[in-house]
Amino acid sequence: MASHPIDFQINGDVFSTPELRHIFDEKSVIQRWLDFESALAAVQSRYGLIPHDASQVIRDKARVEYLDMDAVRAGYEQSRNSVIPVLSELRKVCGSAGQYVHYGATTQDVLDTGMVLGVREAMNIIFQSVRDAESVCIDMARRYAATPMVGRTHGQQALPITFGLKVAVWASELRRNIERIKQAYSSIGYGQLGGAVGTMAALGPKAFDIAEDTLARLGLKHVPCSWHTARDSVAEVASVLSILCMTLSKVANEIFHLQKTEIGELCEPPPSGASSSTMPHKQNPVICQRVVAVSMHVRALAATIAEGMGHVHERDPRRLWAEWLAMPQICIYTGAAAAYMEDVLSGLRVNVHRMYKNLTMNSHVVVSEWLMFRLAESMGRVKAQAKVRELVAAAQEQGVALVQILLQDQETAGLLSPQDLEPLERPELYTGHAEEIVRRTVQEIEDVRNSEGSKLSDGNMAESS
Amino acid sequence: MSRCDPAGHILGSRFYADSYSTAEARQIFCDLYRYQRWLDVEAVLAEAQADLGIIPVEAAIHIRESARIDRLDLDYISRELKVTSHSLMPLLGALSAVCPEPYRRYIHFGATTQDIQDTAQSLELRDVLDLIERDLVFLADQISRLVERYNSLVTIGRTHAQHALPMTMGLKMAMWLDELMRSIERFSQLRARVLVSQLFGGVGTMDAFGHRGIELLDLFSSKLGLSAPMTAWHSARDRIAEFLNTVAIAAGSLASIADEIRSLARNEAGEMEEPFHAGKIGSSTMPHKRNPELCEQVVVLAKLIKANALTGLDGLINEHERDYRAVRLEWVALADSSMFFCGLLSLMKHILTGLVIHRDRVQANVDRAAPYICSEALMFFLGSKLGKDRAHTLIYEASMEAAERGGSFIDVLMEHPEINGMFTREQIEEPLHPERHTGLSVRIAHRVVESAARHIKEVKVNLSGKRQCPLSNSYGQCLVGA
Repeated sequence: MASHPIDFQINGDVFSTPELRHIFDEKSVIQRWLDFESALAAVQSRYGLIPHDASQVIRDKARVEYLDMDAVRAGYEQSRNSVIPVLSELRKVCGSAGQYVHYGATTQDVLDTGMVLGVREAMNIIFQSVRDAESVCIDMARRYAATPMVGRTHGQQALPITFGLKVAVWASELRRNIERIKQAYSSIGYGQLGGAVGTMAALGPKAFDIAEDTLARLGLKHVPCSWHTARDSVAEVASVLSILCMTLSKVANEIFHLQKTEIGELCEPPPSGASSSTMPHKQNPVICQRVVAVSMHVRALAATIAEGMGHVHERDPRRLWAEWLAMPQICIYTGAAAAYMEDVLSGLRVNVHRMYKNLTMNSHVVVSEWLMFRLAESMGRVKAQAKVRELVAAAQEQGVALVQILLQDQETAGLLSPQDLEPLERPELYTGHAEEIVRRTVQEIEDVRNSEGSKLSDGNMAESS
Repeated sequence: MSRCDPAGHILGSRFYADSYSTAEARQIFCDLYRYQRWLDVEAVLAEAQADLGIIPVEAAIHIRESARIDRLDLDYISRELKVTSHSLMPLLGALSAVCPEPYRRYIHFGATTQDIQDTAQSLELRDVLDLIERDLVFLADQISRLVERYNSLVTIGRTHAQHALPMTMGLKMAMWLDELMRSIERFSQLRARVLVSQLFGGVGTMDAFGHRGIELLDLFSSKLGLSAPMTAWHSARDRIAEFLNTVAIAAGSLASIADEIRSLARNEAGEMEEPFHAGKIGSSTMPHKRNPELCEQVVVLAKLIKANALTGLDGLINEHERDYRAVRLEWVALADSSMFFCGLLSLMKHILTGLVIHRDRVQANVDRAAPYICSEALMFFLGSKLGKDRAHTLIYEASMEAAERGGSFIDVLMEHPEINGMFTREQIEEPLHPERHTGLSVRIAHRVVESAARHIKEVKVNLSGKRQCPLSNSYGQCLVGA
């Protein structure tokens, strides 16, 4: 019985992907808790806190497939603790060694460490998707560096740009997101092993060594001061992912708009089947719309996480549980959005003819700024601006070309020859430094890409598999 | 009080305040007026207590005479607010200073601070609701006129931002109207729930009012024109949350209209345009621009209002019998949302009164889109011989092929062997008349206008009344500190 759309078994990939779902699957979650217990037992035996044999048994048995999940389920009906039913089953299969399971740790140590491991796995997948999307943008920015189109402000045609420039802006925004993900990955690189109120009281005299080694086995670092109630790093990840998701949504929304029937400049890769059940001609930007939809949730969930930072005293499950509900969704939605946009951008259809047609539909008007500066040379900036407004209004009123009005107007007739006015016919000549901006942007991003690995790491620490 | 008085909030900006609100809305929340309301509530409390013999009649008369903000020492209040950190005591101190002995001891007799502030807030809300309902009714009337004017203008219906099927412009606007009418209904329903007084003392027990507490509450409320609640709502803030969310819903509905106008004002569509006047400048560097600035501002305000709706929900969470953390959230959220929404309504009145519909562009767009937006009709026509599903497949394939290659999908369709032998081109083109496929557009729109007209009649609003600040003279000058 799957009641949340991300878990649907028939049409489950609408807002998620199988690999992201796998990370937060209940059994994966439990396995990460067992991994924590296994690492703890291994280290505790090394420091003589528990018998070596017991440790070996715990490590052998700490696999989700060895536990009786029906018994665990029955356990949760009796207990309201989040991990005790799992630990009871682990103890049962460990026999006499079972008494050494979870020795001196607190429930939240297990939960937080498991959560960090899951989130970091998801961040790696997201990192790779966004990096691939960035690579696609770099290629597109280069290919279309000189392809003219109209730039729009307030939804209205403004001035000529190139499509490459638009994509270069996307690429630069994606790059900043990637840098933020890298930093947040380090911030969330700490496990939890502080004991019931963060005093490490039950871990014995070697508490610090035990904690450090246990977490190192899981690929994590230890910080002496527990973060049971200090959730800023979790909030940082949530914020960084929500910013990323909004960037992806921004690009998706731009494609949505430029795919409007009236504009028709871009088109997301169409599916093999139909878009509408009753209008056979429709080609809908469905994937882009999905990305916008999930981004709204991620943004709201990030606010929930930020609100959840207000833990009271030494532990506060009211906030913690809010975080639990939100984090997997944030990771899954953001990861799905990243995977979707990687696909959309890879297969994006670019209609350069429509771009040119739209650019020239109000042929002269979109280069009004250029004209203003030409006229300003002889009549001054302020007067030129008023003059161009007047000429444009006259051209629109009479439905004739701006050139014609310009060459007939008493004030402007002698100032510019028909040759001078060429950009009015060919607005693509007025794209400013677009190509150079694209070149520099792409170069800068590629330099950073070449110096980074394709997998996230904490710099000086090796990644566990 | 003549020193520099920086106006850091946009609503206090001498330059931009009118883009975010209106003068009449700002007047309701003027801090001097707010204090005057608190004083009015104290005076009414004294009068009600005098009527019931709880305090001497002379005391009520003197309190009423003293309870005028222009008679109080405002500098003293400012100083004492810092010293006491109490939001009401300094005002009561200043009131006591001008109220003669032995009457001053009867000021604020048995009430708690929040009784006074919440009651006054309900009075503010009543004024806000008057403005809101007046403007919503104006908008409903104006949209009704637009529906009638454009009821038969055929236009393109769009889904997923793609051309879908024909409809009429009147129907599009009738849907705006229908949605707006539901907001009008919500506002009239919430009046009864929200406009209540508060007079229950420190923890809602009325202990300090003696055995006549409930009688006092009823009298006090009726003198103020508010309903009397059954219990204290010091820590039950659902009324405020309801108001903030109702405002947010109405703002969202109106912003959706503004957004639609902005979207259809794109050069590539060019069907609608917000009012433009000579001298309106779209861009500081692109002289040709005509931007939908007003529509954009409406969306901005709706987003701000939405954020405050969430704050209203936050305010629901209160501890024990009173919790000022919620109240202080409301003071900001309620005032801002009210002022933003009045600003939004004013913008929408301007936009919809001067809305331009470019009939020629609407017509041209429909003509160009005709074969596509009639694909459903064509499907049913072909389906009569081929079966609907087969017809869907053939038209889908032809449309997609035409989209890939360019050109007309009718040409592609005519080449298909299943079509070629069975239908002539004339037959195929027969269903492609958008004006024949607007369905019940006109009738639906007409029903909406009729129903709206009936409901508007029931909403009793004062459309003519000009608001006058009680603290100003007949020239509109503030009397306080003058």
